[in-house]
Amino acid sequence: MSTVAGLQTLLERVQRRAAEPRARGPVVVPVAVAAARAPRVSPSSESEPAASEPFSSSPIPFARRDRTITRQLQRVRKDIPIPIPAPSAVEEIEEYDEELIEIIDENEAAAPAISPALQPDAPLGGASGPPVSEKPIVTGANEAAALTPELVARGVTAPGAVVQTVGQRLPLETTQFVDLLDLSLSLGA
Amino acid sequence: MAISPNLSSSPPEAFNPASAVVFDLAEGRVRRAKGQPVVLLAAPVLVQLCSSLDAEQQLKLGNAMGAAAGASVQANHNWTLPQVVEQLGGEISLAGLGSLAMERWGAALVVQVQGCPLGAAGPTVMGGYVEGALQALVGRTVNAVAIETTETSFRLLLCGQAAASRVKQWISSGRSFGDALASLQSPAAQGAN
Repeated sequence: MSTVAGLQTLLERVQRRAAEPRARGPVVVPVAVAAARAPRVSPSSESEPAASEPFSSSPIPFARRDRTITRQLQRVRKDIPIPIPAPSAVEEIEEYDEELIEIIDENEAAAPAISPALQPDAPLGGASGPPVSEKPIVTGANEAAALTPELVARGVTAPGAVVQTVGQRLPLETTQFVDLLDLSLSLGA
Repeated sequence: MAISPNLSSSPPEAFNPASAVVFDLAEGRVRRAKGQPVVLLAAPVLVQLCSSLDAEQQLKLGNAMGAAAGASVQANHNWTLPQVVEQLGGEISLAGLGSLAMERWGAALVVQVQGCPLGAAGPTVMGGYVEGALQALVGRTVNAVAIETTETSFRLLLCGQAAASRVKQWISSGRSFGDALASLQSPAAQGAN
């Protein structure tokens, strides 16, 4: 009974909302069901924005629930004998319902971006494994500068301290054959 | 005024085989240009002769052949390595004993002979040939030690007596000629002597 009351309250609020900013035709006939405050859905005051505000703060639970509520509201509206509003008001209500469903769909679509860990297709055990494409978090210019690669290279070494040459290699084409032969004969001698 | 050797980098004078061998068909003789008589032998005959000799005799045979070749070359002590290779290699080619080349591995001079027809006796005979030729050319006592032998070529290291004994031992123990050459020029080998 409370759910029906909440739905009726929501319907009343929707009708009021539809009538207030777009007051072109006759005023919507009030629903003949006792208005009771429904938790989370119904606004706290008459002037408070109706449907869009809850979705902006917590989209996932409200979105699913309110979508269900909206569909139930459509069914209830058919079942409950309520005075038929003016045709223009009915159109306004339907238009508002469509907008409401559209807002819900948008919030549901945005839900994965807000909390990907809560999505059903999140990989199992993902939290225990290493991140696949984890990017460094740049928190400021100073920290980014601190991440600059540090080059480690050898310094310049004086060649004379390490390399020593003994003798001189004779050019093969211009050295006398006798000198080359004598050098070869001296090996191991 | 000091006289510096003419060390030109220009290509050496090519070996000239023209009239190197004269066939006197009327007299039935074959001689070199300087008049030494020569005998043309079929290579298999020389191979059979060499195979009947021991290593020392093969070495002596080759030594005599090389001395004769070196004597026929008008040697010059200022010759460079390419000039020696050109003239001595020309003599070896003229005799049909193969193609001569020389390599320098570090400080070691290595003679390479390709296409020698003497078979298994080739390294020993040609080793003696090179020793005799260099003795005649430049007046040096040289040991030409076979360090590598293949089917078509062999290499001879030009070294002294002590090095020759050591290298022969290394090669006979299975070490490669490159390893032997490196070991011969290592500081340890140089310091041990």
